[in-house]
Amino acid sequence: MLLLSLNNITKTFGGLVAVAGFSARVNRGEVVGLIGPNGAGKTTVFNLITGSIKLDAGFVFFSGHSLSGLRPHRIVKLGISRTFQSIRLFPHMSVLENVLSGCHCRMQSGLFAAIFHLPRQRREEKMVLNNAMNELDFVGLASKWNLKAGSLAYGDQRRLEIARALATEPKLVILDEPAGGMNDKETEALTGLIENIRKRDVTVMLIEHDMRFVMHVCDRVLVMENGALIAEGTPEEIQKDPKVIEAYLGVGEED
Amino acid sequence: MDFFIQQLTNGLTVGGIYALIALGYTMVYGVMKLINFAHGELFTLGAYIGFTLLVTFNFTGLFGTVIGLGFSVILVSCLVAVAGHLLERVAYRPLRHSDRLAAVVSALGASIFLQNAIMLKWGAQRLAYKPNILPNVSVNIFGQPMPFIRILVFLVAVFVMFGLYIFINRTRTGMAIRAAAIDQGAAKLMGIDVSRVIALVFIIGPALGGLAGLMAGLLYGPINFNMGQIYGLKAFTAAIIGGIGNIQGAMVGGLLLGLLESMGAAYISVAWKDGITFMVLIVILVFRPTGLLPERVAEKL
Repeated sequence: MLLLSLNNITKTFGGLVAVAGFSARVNRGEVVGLIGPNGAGKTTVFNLITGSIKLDAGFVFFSGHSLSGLRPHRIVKLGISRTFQSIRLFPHMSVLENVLSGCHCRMQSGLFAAIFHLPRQRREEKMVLNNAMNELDFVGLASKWNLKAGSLAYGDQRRLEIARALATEPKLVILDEPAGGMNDKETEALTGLIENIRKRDVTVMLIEHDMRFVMHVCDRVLVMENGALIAEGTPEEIQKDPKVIEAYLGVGEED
Repeated sequence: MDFFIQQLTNGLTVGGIYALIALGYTMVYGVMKLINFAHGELFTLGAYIGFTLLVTFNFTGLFGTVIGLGFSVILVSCLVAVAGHLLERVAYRPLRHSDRLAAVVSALGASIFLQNAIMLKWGAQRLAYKPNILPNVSVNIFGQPMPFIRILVFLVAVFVMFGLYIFINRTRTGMAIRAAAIDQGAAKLMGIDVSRVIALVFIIGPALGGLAGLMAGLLYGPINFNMGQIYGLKAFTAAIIGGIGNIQGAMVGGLLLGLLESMGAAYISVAWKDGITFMVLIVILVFRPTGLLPERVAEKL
């Protein structure tokens, strides 16, 4: 079942064309990798999907809704959530509070109920706290709930970002270099985590430079170069694709 | 010793007023990285609306002291909150994506506009809260007779600050405000409506500022249309002392500045009262621009 479709999306910054008529489809339940040389426009595609930047042309459809012109928090509410290439936690807030901030958009009771501490609000508060702890448990950080997010080890911060993203109850979670800066053991654990995310019926889209990881976790891989899609297929197909090999070898250094 | 206690309570009272105003500066800065230069005028507006309710309409005479005063406090806070919300809509929201300097100019413009609007509405001559609005009783503290109004102002300030502290640190909405202050972009992408957070900050801050205006009128009596300038500047100094963007900092900074000022006036010279404030501002800006409290600027609300 089609979940996300990108139709000819385009974005230019000044004279630079970052994304040039990029089209792609993501089906429900898939784990899709987006790869390409540095500067290919991968993160820009993610920013366009989540509404952080506005499209110059093209359309994004997500489970029957057009996302054009929607503000980021509305898009989150529709069910798209993300993590960041450079970690963007709220460092002074506790681990639990970071996850709770993700739950915020699913809360029903308004300010009025919060101020007067109505029973409905208290029930909801309890439920949200429960959900947040479950998410922490899911990524294996439950025992660190009380620490400041900024004090966590790098790999833990990455996992906390994932927990925070999952707390928004997304249908699609977008991970921007989730294995970046992780050691082999952490990367392996991440593979298991993504497998578990899929089991929760959450679709995953990810950018990653660690090819072994990409080939291992993704059902399908999209390859970008200079803002356009140059190849698409299963990991096996992609590895054999001459255009992909050229794009990578032609650019030379790649991490 | 008596003299010292007198100055101590005096300083804490005026410090409470500074702190309430400073909270408005610091919350807006925390979320928007903008100094709301019109905030002092919202304080003045609070003082004038309070004057209308308590002197012109004689609320305490009509409803009794407690209910009349309570009514006035709530009405002043609500009306100034509405004014603050309108200010954000008209003067700041249209400029949210433009240069930061544009918003600063807009803030200054809004300040001049509000000051003149108040002057046109209530007149350029100074008005005075009547001294008999509250019963003129004193309470003995350490053997010193203390005017009731002073204690009331201090207690209200502390109560409101405590409430705000709980709101910011213990409620979900408070958490959204903190998240937006740390990283607006990330907050948006976690589903937090940052526009709503900004609107909320422009309701809470002005409500506190307006309340401070009412209390300053009750405490000192005379008010005039440009009183917000000097109070605003001092509260801004208080916010800087605590580290701008830092809520606890504004509370501590306000009380500290009030104490410094009253002690300076008492033991150095009354003439130097304002001079001391601004010397403190300069010293802080030169030696510790991030404020006295340990958190870094604007990263923590």
